[in-house]
Amino acid sequence: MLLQLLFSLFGWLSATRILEFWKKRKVILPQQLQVLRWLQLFLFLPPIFFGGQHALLCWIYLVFLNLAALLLPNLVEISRKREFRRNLLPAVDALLMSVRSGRSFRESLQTVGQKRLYGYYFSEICSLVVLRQSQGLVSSDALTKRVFIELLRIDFTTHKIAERLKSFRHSLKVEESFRQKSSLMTLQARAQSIILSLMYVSVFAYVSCCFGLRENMTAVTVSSALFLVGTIWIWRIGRRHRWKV
Amino acid sequence: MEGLSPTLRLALTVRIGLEQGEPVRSALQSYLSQTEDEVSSFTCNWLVRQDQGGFDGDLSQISKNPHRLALFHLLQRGLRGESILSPIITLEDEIMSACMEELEKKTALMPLQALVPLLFLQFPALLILFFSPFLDQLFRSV
Repeated sequence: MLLQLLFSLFGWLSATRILEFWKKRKVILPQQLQVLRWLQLFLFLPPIFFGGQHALLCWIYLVFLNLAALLLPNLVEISRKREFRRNLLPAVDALLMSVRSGRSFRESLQTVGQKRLYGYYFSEICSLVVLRQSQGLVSSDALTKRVFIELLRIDFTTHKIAERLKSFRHSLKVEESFRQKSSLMTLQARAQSIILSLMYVSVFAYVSCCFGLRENMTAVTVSSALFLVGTIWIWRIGRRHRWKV
Repeated sequence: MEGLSPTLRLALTVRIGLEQGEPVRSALQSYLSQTEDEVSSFTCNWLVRQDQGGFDGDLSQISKNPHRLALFHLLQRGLRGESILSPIITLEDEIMSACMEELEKKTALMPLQALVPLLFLQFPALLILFFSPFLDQLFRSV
């Protein structure tokens, strides 16, 4: 009984703290917070019911849950960054079209930024620019900051807004085309490395099943070390390109 | 603008600044506030020495890169008050095609570079793993 009480208290406390942490890092929205408060009740029911019989399993479950919850903001941030990069050019295009159709820049920002059509970060940037808040951007990504500063600068000017947006879109397009070309450059080598790794893992499994790992310890160690160095080498090729131009 | 050539980045930033009606100096200053790389530190020094009047001479003493040299010559003209928007657009295209060429060369070399770890590390690793139990059994039977 005491153990179950401990589980429920520890679980509830950590869940509440995690939700607060998520809210602070803007991983969840206030309306989602209400739903999650109910969900946390169901997540912490199993340790309360089974805590008496499988105490160790319940502790592992709680630790795993906490770790997953702590890692979630980073995963959300990565996916938001990707979403931002993917939707940036269409978003700037939409902004330009809206300005060209006769709307003001702020009105266009509000239209494009609403309902998160072009991702979370872009709508956050739009609302910050509309409110003329130079602080308060959650993302620390360089591209997000640059887009924010550029849109803020455009908002502060009173003329040639479409031209400014057009030249900003041009720079983004150039950057995107170079990024695509350099990622294509490494793609072939990386695909080759992935296929070889799959082959290696299957041979490793075959050798360990049929002949045992202990009997072939030296060969397995040497081969694993060689393979690891080779894989790291391949993944590092083309990672940093020093421009001559 | 990560992944871009520093020279192209400078040309792009100045071009955008000029298209937005800014003077060359303020476009350069906004470039310096946004970027930190070899060209930005060079530009910073160049701009300071330009202000001190000590840099009217030969730029080739500092940089041997022809594209960079052409860009700085153009910027020098822009700082003197000449209109450089149309030449900078042309130069940007030139720099962009040079970058594309460089990237293509690098892409062509890539399979060869990837072949070295494949042949000398990964393939031997697979062979060692695959044949060591058989060789072990063979030696034991002999």
